Amino acid sequence: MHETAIAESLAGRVEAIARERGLKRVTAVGVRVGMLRAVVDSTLTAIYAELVRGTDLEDSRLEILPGRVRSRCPECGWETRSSRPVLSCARCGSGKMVVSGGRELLIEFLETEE
Amino acid sequence: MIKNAVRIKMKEEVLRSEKKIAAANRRRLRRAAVAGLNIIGSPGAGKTSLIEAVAGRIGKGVGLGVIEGDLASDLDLRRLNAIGVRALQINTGRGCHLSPAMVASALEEMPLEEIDLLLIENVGNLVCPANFDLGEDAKVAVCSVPEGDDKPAKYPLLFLEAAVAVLNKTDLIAACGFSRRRFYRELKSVNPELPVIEVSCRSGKGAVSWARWLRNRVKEKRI
Ligand SMILES: Nc1nc2c(ncn2[C@@H]2O[C@H](COP(=O)(O)OP(=O)(O)OP(=O)(O)O)[C@@H](O)[C@H]2O)c(=O)[nH]1
Ligand SMILES: [Mg+2]
Ligand SMILES: [Zn+2]
Repeated sequence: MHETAIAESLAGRVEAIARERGLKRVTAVGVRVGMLRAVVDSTLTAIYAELVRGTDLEDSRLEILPGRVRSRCPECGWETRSSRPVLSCARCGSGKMVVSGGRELLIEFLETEE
Repeated sequence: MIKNAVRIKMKEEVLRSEKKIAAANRRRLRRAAVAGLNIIGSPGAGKTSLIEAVAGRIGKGVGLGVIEGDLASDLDLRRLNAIGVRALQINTGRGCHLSPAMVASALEEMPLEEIDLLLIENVGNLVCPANFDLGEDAKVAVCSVPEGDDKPAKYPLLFLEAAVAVLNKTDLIAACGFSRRRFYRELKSVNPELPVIEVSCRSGKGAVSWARWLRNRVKEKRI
């Protein structure tokens, strides 16, 4: 359950960012989670909610944004995004795809009220 | 008073502090010219057996050190101590992987100047440990024949991150109906470049190649 460790780091980071930026109430947290990380969204959300209960972040709802794997053919430029690497080009048949992304763990937005 | 929701955009690493600690571990290992390998595989795949197999084959000129990560117990530590390997136990409790901070405190306690090769046995698990950089030079993915020939396809991250895969328990290939062809096909569909070392810790077959691969990591680090 790497979701536990990720949720703990996430709550800590959100708290620090909210403090740095003087945000009193965080209502939503947008986090990009690369699909290669094999994170179960509902597990991460549940652990996060459990962790922030009774803290200043109690009202923050987690919004998970999937980070798909990007596979690109350098020969013909064909590109695809999916949950896992695609290693052969569906257009020209080349087997030299360049794979990127899918490993992100980034806080992309916080929502607050004013 | 009606309140408006305001969205503040950013790009902040969730694992920022883990990354910092891993980078510090990496610097530490570089300064001491220690090759550090993070050994990852399912429970019972043979991680400790592979370390035991190295102990007798790595050669006198290479100082071996081991960090043992387990949920609980020091059984693996005792196995290594019994054959004279310098090892340190980390119990992760409920944690399903070693964290870079755990490794940092282990490095504090180890005589790094006497060590050339540091093998870190992660907690038995294919998914969680692959997610956390410890500051190692390379990850080793350990698979074993009884687990089946479909592991690379099911857990792609580890096989993307690893510098080598070890297929252990090859003595059981016939008994388990394990398909080598399917295993290599699945592996190539995830990471076509990944080298594979086939080993049987039971018979000793392939152990020399495994030890040679590790010795080459030590040589790279000394340059
Ligand atoms: N047949 C056979 N059995 C093996 C081989 N290598 C290891 N074993 C057996 O597999 C079992 C597990 O081996 P370990 O080395 O303890 O595995 P591990 O990955 O360290 O296990 P955990 O630390 O509990 O996750 C032991 O009973 C070993 O004797 C092998 O090559 N062939
Ligand atoms: Mg073990
Ligand atoms: Zn193409």
